[in-house]
Amino acid sequence: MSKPRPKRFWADLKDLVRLWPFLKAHKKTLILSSCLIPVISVLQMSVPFILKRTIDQGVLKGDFHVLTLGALAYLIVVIVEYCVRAVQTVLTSRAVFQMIRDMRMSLIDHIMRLSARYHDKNLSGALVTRATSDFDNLSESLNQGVLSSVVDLAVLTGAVVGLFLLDWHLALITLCVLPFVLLTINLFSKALKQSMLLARVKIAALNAYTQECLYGVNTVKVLSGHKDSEQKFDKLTLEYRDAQMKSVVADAVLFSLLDGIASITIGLVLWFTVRPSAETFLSAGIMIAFVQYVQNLFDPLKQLANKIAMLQGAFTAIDRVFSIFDTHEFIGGDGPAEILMGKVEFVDVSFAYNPPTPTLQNLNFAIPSGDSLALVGTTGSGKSTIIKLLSKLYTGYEGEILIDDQPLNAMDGVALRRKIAIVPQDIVIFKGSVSFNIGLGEPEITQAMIEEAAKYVEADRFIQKLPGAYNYQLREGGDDISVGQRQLIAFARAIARNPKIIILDEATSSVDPASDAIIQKAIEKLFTGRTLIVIAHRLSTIRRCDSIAVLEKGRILETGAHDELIRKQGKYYSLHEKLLHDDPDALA
Amino acid sequence: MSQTGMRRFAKLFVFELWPWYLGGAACLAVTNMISLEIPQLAKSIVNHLHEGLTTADGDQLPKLALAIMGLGLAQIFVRSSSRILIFWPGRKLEASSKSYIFRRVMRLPQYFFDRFGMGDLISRFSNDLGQLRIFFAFGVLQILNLIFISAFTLYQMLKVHKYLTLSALAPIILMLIITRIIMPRMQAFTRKNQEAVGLLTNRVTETFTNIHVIQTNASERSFLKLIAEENEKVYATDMKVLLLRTLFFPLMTALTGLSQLIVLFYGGYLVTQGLISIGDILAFNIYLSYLAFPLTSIGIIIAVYQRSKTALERIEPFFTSDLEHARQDSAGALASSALQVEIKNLSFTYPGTEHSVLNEFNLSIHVGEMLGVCGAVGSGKSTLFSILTRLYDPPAGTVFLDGKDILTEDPQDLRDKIAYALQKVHLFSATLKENLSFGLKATPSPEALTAAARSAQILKEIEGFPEQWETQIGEKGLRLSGGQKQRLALARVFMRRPKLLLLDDVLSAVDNLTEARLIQEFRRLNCTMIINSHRGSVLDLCDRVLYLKDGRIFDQGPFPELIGRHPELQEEIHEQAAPETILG
Ligand SMILES: Nc1ncnc2c1ncn2[C@@H]1O[C@H](COP(=O)(O)OP(=O)(O)OP(=O)(O)O)[C@@H](O)[C@H]1O
Ligand SMILES: Nc1ncnc2c1ncn2[C@@H]1O[C@H](COP(=O)(O)OP(=O)(O)OP(=O)(O)O)[C@@H](O)[C@H]1O
Ligand SMILES: [Mg+2]
Repeated sequence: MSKPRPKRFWADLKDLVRLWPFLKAHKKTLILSSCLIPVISVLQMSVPFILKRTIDQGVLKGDFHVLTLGALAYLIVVIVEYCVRAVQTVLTSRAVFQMIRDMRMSLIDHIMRLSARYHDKNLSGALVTRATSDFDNLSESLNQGVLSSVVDLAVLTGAVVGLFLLDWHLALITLCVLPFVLLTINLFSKALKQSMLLARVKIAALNAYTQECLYGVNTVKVLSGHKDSEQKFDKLTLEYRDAQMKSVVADAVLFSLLDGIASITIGLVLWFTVRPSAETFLSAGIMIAFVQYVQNLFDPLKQLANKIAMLQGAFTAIDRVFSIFDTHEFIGGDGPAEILMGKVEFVDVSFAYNPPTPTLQNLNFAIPSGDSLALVGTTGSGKSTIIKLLSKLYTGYEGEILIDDQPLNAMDGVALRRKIAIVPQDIVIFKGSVSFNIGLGEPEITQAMIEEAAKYVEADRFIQKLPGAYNYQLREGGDDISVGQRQLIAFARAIARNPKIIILDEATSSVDPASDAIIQKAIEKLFTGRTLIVIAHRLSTIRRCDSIAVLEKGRILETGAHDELIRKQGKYYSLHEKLLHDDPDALA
Repeated sequence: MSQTGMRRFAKLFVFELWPWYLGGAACLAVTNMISLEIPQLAKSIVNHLHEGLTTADGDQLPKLALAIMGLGLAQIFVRSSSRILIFWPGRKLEASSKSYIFRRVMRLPQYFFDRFGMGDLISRFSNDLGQLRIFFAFGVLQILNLIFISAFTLYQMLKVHKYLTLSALAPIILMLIITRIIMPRMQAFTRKNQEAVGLLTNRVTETFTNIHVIQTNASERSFLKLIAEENEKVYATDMKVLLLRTLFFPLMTALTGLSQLIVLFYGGYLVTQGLISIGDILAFNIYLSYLAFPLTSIGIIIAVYQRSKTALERIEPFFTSDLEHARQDSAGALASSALQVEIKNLSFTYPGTEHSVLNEFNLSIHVGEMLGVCGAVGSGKSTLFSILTRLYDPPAGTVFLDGKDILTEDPQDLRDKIAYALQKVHLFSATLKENLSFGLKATPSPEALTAAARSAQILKEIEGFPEQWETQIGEKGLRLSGGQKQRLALARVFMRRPKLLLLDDVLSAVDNLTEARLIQEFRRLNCTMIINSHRGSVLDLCDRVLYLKDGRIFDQGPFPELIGRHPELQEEIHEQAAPETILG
């Protein structure tokens, strides 16, 4: 994760501009609601005038008529202001909520399109924090802080104008204080922002760890890892707490400074009027109105200060969110991915997850369309990596990968993967019905196709026993079915897509031999004429393939058909011999 | 319910922070006194202005004005202290309650997690405690503020004129009535909103943690759609809360305006009657504006309180659910202690389901025996292990370890005796070393780590990584190959000295050669062993193999005999070699 870097307050204001593309759709609403803001400030401005007039000419002169009129005018102002404020808030808040809704979706979409490499580096728990609570912060801050501070600013302007109309000498004195106020705001909000950014990073780390522990609670229990996990959890919690406590201090001092300066200003104004050398004599009405104005001046300022924390919260959230929008670690290529034949070719492919340590080196092999290839090799030799390259989850390899003689580089990754079905080594079951888990919500996959696929892989039998069968709601992670059953569902998932190329990465490793045999036969029947890549440890599976590639430490040692390789008496031969040494009937 | 919930929460985490709150309250009181003194001074200045300057007062007035400035300065210090002193305990109690609940959660029985769903629990955990913190910091500050300010101002206002005060405060009664009507609705909406946010977090978490699989299947579209549905619900509930809020909060502002109006009209009348001075009106107005802020905050306080109540209800299960514990009530009869494991007539159904997974299960395992378990997918193999380690509790008097009913033992003590390698590997996003030392009583020596890794057949690969033991393996071990993950998890077993070893299909992702070496190493541990496997090569080495079918022991015996009786077990297995011969 990027390190927190504080920006100047005014630079932050510029960041707000980046929200515009998401707000554009609500332009009319926003314009309408901004038109209401001056109305509010005019209403606010008129209050001291009414007060002054009523006091000077009504109360002091004992004119009951003026007093009643003044009171009536005041009442009208109060009512109108309430209505205008309510309408204004609803309009802007609705726009904000809609913006948040749209922005959240586009961020999630963005994250989902980021490359596997990016996701390898970033904890999903931290990304979840970005997409959920950072937005909650943003909407909270925008609604309660930023938007109403626009209103506050309007009130402020109204007050300043009013001050000058009343008595420009006094107004100037009051305004002398303003530069100090702005300086204070700038200084402290920087400190505030820094600690808040730090806090966001810490909370993301804490959430990610919480998630890890809860999902692995069985492992923690079984390994008696309570103490270790608690220690780390406490450490992360305290780091988060301390970051927050720092921002509390910055916030408190800022708020109090503004409050204090307001009082000092009132004192200053009064002192100016009554100072020994003062010549002007001001009416009591002016003084009351004036103090009211100073209140009007500092009330919104205080509100603003109160909201600086919120405002900074919004800036921090915007910062965090846009730092993801600014990440463009996508996998390139947007060409069509028409796979008609299913021919696959690797030409001199080398690849490294972490350069310079190579993971794959100079791979060369070709699978004619409709053929099958078995990848054999010790664990960690790079078998799964080949598949990840072929499905375009990772790029940045040297050499060329071709499908139907078209370079993979030019193809659109998502379109490509729609044509290729993969049963990965790590099985994932999602919260949702059995049908959803097989079809994964793709509209093209009908219920009939789902059930057919399940029958092919022997999953139908156990699914029928579940209450509700295909409508049975599986728990997240598939905790309520056995691991082998999960594997069968993932298998059915691949088959249901009816792909031209199918890749099985130890797809039946947790399945009993009887079911495995049935599945193997079904696959043979189903996939004649389609390209099949298999990673397996079962010799019987391997031998059935048209060709075999033997991998070691990221290099292909030899390729060829089973008989061919046996004749060659190379690595495959010795492997095979070792395994079969005392088991001659396996050759039968 | 939430009343006791609030009390319990306060007792556990809040009361101990009383010195902070006390200090904060004191500072807040001083702050308020200062801010109320300022209008007093202003009032006397204005009064003097009105009455005209006399020479004697002429010297006094500038001093008064200077006093206002001095007080303003003092205010800066006292007020910031008051805020710090009250907000810090909020952060403290948030941290302490989080740690406390985390400890409980990790000790809750498995069926608790089954009932709630993981994502839901995470959202309760991370969002709802924050609401409580807001109540106990921001809420407390507002309440104290309200109390102080209204006490001081009321006193001052009453001193000036009783009836004017009462009539100025009349709108507040109106406000309280409105609050009572709107708040229950607000609470209902807020709860719906919090739930919607929880569901959204759930979906997003599930999607992001499994992004690799979703990308592999090119099903980004449909997951985006699912998230969009939840997102839409969040928006809809947000809007409802918003509507109520906007009707409500500006109303508070308007009502204070009404108060000022009353002061102007009635107060103005009183001035014409000569009953109060014009300066009193000024002071009244300033008092009212001082009251305005805490009064508008009544609404906020109530909203915060409602939210924290909902939050308390949501975290209630963490406090009230029973933790895993030794059950004295089921001190079942002692079974023969010559047997390591004895299971008598065990039938087991997962809580909340109807179908029984294990049926009338009877089994005795001798000390040092190596027992294999095979059977079709879903036949109950893993369930057996979950019961032996009390991840799920069996009925009383059915499962015995070393002659003692396992229910009478503390689950953690029990698990210390057993090394259980789960079928589904879970690794932490940390270094190799941290993953391997996880849960050990003492920090292991480098030699011990190396030895365990060697036994688990992963040492060479670890030494091949550029950063060796300090290699970060990524979330869920993402940067390791399938076989590497499995063997790293197995290495944890070799760091322990168990009495009983449970291996659940842990060799499925390793090749046959590695598998054979691993089994040799397991044997060297010299303990009783139960192995779930589909591989003939593994089962062949066991003293005895159970063949499970639908949760019953269908047959048992040495594997070659079993194959003879059940050809369906043989089908593919015969093609694999006996690993012993490889090592020769
Ligand atoms: N995302 C990743 N980032 C960094 N290194 C990785 C990543 N994925 C795999 N590796 C490394 O690349 C090597 C090859 O991994 P791969 O998953 O391709 O092995 P494999 O042949 O499929 O092994 P297995 O049979 O155990 O599944 C391993 O050493 C592994 O540690
Ligand atoms: N937490 C759970 N709640 C409800 N039912 C469950 C739960 N876990 C497993 N089951 C069900 O219990 C049965 C036995 O599951 P178990 O995991 O013991 O099978 P297994 O023999 O280990 O299978 P595999 O070879 O696939 O690992 C299955 O039908 C499964 O659907
Ligand atoms: Mg199992």
